[in-house]
Amino acid sequence: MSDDKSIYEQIGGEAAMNVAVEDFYRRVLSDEELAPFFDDIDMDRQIDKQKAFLTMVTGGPNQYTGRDMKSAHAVVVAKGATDRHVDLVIKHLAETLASLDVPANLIEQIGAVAESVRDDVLGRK
Amino acid sequence: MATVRYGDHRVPLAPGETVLDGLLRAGADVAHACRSGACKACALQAAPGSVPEAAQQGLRASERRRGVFLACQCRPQADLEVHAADHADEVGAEVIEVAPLSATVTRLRLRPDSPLSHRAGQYVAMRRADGLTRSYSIASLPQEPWVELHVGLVPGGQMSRWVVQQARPGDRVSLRGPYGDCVYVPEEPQAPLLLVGVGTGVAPLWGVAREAVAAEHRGPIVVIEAAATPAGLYLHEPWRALARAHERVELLSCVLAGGDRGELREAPVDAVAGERFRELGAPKDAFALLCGDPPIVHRLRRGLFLAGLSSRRIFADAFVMGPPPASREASMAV
Repeated sequence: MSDDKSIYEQIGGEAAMNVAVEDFYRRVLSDEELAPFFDDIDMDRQIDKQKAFLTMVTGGPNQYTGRDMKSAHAVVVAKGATDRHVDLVIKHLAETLASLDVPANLIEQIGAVAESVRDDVLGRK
Repeated sequence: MATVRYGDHRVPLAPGETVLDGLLRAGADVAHACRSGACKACALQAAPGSVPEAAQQGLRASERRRGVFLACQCRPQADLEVHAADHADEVGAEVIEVAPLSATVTRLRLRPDSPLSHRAGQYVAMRRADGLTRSYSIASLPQEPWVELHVGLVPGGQMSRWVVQQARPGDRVSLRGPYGDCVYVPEEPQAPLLLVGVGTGVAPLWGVAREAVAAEHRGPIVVIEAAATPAGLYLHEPWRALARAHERVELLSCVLAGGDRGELREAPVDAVAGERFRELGAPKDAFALLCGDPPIVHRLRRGLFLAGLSSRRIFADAFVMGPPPASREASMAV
């Protein structure tokens, strides 16, 4: 794979995101520790947001900012989200990517990007 | 802080406040019902391009171009001058029949002054002469000579009480729309269809199922009707007749209480829907159309999604109950 392409492009662009986001959201909703945070959430809108998130962490076209991450997650922080929940989300993300045959080194890079917004998500910055 | 002008009212909005909440707070008379963007009752109009995109979601393209927007979804960033929407798409209609289908559901048949050009499964906002507006799903097919709505009596509901107790043939209303995309997809005649209706949520599906049958749909058509008690299955006999007449159509009936006799099951509708979907082999090419109150539609949607159905193949019309305390009404009461 050539290095000048983003991971987003390498793994198949928007079409891949559409598949990945549903797999990812199924894993999250099936996780007993995470599911309560999504109880009252509109599923279609949430899927759109998670697609934007996946696009961001894979280096695709996005307008994500730290402030977005912070305000978007203020509600879940108020509901008691902690590092443990962020760990779980990152784990599900890695498993989704693995199920789509994304190479391990790329999954690691994507995980690092997801890791970089941890403090924003938890409202610590 | 944005200020909204509406007739003689000048209302500075509080941060995050919607145009509807601001105008109501100031005592303005604005038709409204669900306050959640579903029923389209609170449509107003402003200069084209001046309202946030989110306030025009679900409106028809012709309405968006004219600057029609939903006051309950509009949180303007800048000052906004609004006025009652000029509903170019609104058509007058005459009541031609009012007939009880059950103790709590009334069939209203209307003859629009000009054709509505709707799809089976869509809904309309119906406005009474005094401005009261509520949305109802359309149970009839476009080629039928009337527009049929199934109006469930809502305790304290102004529109439903009027329909059930007072409306007579010859009365005039007007219809705006049609809206909604809970419709049959003719491009995929082999796709298994899962049509799940709770309460009067079966009304739009009555149109969709008959359209699918008329289109000689080749995949299975699974109809699941659900209600709290057997008395709520107000369309049971017509559904049975449809299932008897067409081998592709399968009818499952479920209630929360008073069931478990014969073909009636006492089980939550989302459990029944999920089970039938899995029995069919969790087909990825299925379409699910879900209609009913928001909490149950939410559970159905999540259950089928987790069972493997793509969210893009799940169409839902959630009939939002109108929260205004003085006029609690099923605003998307089908």
